[in-house]
Amino acid sequence: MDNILNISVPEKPIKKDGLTCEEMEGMDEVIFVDDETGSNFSVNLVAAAVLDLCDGNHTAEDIAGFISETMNTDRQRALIDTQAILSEFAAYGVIQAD
Amino acid sequence: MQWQSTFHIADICFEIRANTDLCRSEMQSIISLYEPSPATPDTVFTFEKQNDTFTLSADGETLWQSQDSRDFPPAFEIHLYRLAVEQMAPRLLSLHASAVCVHDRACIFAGVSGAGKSSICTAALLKSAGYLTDEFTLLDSKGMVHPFPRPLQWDSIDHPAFTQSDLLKDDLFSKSLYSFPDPDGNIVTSHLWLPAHLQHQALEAAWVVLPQYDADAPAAELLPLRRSEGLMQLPQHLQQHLSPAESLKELNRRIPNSVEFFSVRFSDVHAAWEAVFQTISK
Repeated sequence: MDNILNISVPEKPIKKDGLTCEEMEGMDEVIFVDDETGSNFSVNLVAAAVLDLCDGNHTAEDIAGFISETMNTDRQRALIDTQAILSEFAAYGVIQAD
Repeated sequence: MQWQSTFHIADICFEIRANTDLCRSEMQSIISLYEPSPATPDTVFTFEKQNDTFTLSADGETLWQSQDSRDFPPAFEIHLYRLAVEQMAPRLLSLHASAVCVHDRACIFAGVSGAGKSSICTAALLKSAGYLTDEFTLLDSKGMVHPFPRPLQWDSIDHPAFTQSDLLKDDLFSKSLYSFPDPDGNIVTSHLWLPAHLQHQALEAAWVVLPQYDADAPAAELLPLRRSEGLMQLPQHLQQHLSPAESLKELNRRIPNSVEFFSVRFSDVHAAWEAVFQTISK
């Protein structure tokens, strides 16, 4: 996990092309399918929202602001969590790493 | 033209025109809870018989064609709901949830199929709550819930928690039904229960309850939820497709901060409604 968290994240991250999002009723998670490879992974809704906002227009601070406002949580705590989520996404190749 | 009817669901006006009386009573039961509308229809359904073939269309587009008229009440119903939800977006966000009027405000029950949202809605109606919807909770951008009073429906005439005499007592419900052949040719009957106490005006959303039926649970166990916990449960129930971030953003925008969230795990739906009612009446 330490290695994962050390991977740097672009200032305005962009998610990998060809990811299709499926929300399944009755599941607390969202499934993303990589159309190119057929592989899939599931994340909770907040992480899905973070990935959704990785469109090249939002910084980690912007994304944390959205999460903080929507989920009524502390902004600094949201930023720490957002950075951790983005690092994991970068480690797994879901967003483009620096 | 044998018959026609014009009605509205929220701010969408529909009309149905038919050149045959076949299925008339069934289709009229399906739309009987919506208010008549003098407005120009946004969408016109036509149900026509020509030679031996029946056709259901909407604004000229053929939706279903068959020689068996019994296919058409369910086909009409499915397409009516689909078009209503499509046309309301983005003004109204549709949540797969039931809702009732209590103390002049809306209490919403959101859950997956089988969680008990229609059952707890029915238990509330039996205690004289006003009916908003059992399936389509329509949220506007000002925190109001708009009525979509479709008939409650069960596949069986009997419900484990409610007897027919419970429902028909005091004229709280009337009933109707339609039958149709499934793809294997078996006859399926859809029982329609029509609540008497309808809420026709939009109401401020005040409570969101996440029910979970569990035969092994106590009669009813009601717990408050943090807003963030409650909001996280709702995007899966949206009936219009939005991305995860958009889902959260829209729900957060449309559900006022004053709304209280609860979960209720129950084995007795009447006890569940009583627990909800006692708590929200404080």
